[in-house]
Amino acid sequence: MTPAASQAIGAELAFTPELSDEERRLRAWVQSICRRLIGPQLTSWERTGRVDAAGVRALAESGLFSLLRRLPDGACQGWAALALALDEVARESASVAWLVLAQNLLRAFLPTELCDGVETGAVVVTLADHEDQSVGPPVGAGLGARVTAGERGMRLTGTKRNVLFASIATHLVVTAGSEAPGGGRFLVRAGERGCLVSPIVPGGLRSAGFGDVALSSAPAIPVCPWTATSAAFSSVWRALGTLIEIANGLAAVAFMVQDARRKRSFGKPLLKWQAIQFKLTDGYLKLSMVRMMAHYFAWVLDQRLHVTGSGLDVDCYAALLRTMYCKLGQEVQEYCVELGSGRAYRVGHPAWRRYMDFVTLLLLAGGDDPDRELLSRTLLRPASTASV
Amino acid sequence: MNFAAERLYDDQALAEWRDRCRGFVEHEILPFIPQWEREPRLAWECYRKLAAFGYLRLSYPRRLGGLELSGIWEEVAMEELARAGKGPRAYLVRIARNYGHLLDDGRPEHQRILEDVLSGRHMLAFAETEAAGGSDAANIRTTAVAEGGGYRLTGTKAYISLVPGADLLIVTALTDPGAGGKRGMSLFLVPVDTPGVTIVPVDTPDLKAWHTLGTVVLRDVWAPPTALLGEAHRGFYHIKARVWSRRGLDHRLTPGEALAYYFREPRDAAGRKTVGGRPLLDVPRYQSMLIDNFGFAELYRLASLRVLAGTAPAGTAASASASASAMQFFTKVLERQMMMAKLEIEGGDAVARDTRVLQDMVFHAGARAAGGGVDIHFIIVGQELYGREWACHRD
Repeated sequence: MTPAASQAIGAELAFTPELSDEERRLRAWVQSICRRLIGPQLTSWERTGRVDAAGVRALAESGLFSLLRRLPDGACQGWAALALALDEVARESASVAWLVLAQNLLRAFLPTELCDGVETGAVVVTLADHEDQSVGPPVGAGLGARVTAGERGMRLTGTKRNVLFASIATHLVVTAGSEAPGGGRFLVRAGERGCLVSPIVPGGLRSAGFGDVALSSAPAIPVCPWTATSAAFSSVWRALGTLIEIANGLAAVAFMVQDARRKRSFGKPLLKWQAIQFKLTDGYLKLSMVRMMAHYFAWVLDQRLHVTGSGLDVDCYAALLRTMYCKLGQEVQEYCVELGSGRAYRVGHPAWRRYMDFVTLLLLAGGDDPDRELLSRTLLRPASTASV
Repeated sequence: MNFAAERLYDDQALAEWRDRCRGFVEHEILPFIPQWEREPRLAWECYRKLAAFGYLRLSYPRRLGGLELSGIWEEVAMEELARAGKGPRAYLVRIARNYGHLLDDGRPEHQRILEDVLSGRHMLAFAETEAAGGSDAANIRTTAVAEGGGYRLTGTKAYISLVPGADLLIVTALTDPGAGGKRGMSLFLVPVDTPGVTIVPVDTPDLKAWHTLGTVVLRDVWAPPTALLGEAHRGFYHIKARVWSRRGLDHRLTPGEALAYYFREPRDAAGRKTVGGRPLLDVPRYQSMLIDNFGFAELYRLASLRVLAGTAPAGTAASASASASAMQFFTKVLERQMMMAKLEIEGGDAVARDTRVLQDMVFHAGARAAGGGVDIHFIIVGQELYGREWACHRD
């Protein structure tokens, strides 16, 4: 979908909460970046499997990687702006949206001089969480990757799988266990001795530069212990990642609406058939509602509220968002590829690309089982009666 | 994004307003519900009490005798009234709240009647639907033939809410049949006791006193020129401008009620009940159902904030009708899922104790029948999304 089409449909979203003038300007700015810097390069990036260095530099210099502002007390502000940007960029490319999310969020773990590098594109940082034996959000104690402290500083050993942007990252934020209780996150310089990246070609997110990372006594700097802060980071990462999935779904619906106008069946355009109209509207409404939850989540972060209007804390709200997306949003994307039928089956067809992005995002994020577990503990235990 | 409406709930004056509403409902409504529900006819006494408190004119502008409260104040008032079940809120209050706006056409005589409606001296019914047209407002056959400076109305209106019971009808009729429903329809205010008007009640015992239904037969009914509401032939647009954006709110729950009713109550029930020797609350299937209900209630709450913003007094934003329709979709699609989960969890308890769940299930079915299902709302939302090529009666 072109940014112009995105804008046209975006302007009509029945459930879009009203944007302020500043937010409208922000959205127009992001759309212009999509139009100038992302759209024209997308085919090339997907062919090579990564956003090239010039592309990263251009995106960094545009300001997309520094939407979050760090406050003196360490908290961040600008979540609503980041959510808005992710929403727009993901309609153009889910891969690039993940790049934007990673650079904005992971800067928090970098020393100041590296942060400056993110703003120019000289530093690309990514998160290395997944391992063969772990599913869903990482927990320190259960990880295979281990850190040991010795005379030459901390060393990290283990294997991380399906790391986004591994092939273009200059720095990795790696989750690992340690002798100390809990473990944490550690910064590792990519290309350093002991850090080997093996690119992989996934079915979707084709410009995300996926790779497996093998670490063998790689020098590591501790950046964040397993604390509430670290858990909150995981929640934000997961929630905004879900927003990217939602935006990808809305882009798929928007594309299929255009496609159904062109495609004919039984003598008239597909979109004239009520069976098609209703199903698309149903999917659109459900995705839009979950999307609003994601933007509300960002608003809550900006307001620095500890508890949402529904009585949940931020971690639980992120889990609820994921749960609702899995419940209501996923079937829509299945339908979009079904509606595209034979033509959508071709690699490169927008419906197929969206679908493969959807599947890959789902594989990366996993289902909603961990989220339901968290919500069960919070919402359903007797002691919670008073709070919710 | 502007979610600041949520902050309005923290307002001290709003809390005092909630207390006032709660006191009124607890003392003036709740004790009398069993008595009113035993009556076969509409609960006029309840209607008058609600009107006297101000429930019918919460969001009306002051120039029309209203209280001109913003959407969130109305929401709080409705949330408190919901403690009395769906009946009073969904069926009595909505009539004046929504259809009274049709009387706002700038003419002093109609404004006086509206003031009487809002103060509970009259009750309105909107004789709109016909058997062949259903939810399609433009698809009517009732005619109004110009005669001697007035009109002669002939036709049959089906499934009209609050008939019998109401004493005033707003009737849609074709004044220019050749132009069709959209460009040839006019609205008329017709007292029920006008010669030629016959009301045939439809038997709805399960809806108790709250939602009477009836057929309105019009045979050569004389309507003077002053009965015409708005401009001649522009009735469809009059309805569209004044009613449609509010219609999605007719039957819906308030967010607080949705959370209490579909999450807290079944959760507490699941804590009490056991299956295979362990509490339902420990069974993953029931846990998932409860979490889904909580999530739906949250989606509903956020959507309400959006709709509240769009339907503040005199709010006629272009997308308001689509928002209201989307809300209707939620009421009818998600609420049904929540209801099923609640029924399944509360199970035998609900039947044995004759809790509100069974009664509300019936009201829910009644609302679906009265509102015409979700198809029309899909069309309204779809047209906003996808443009004019959707098959739809809107311009």
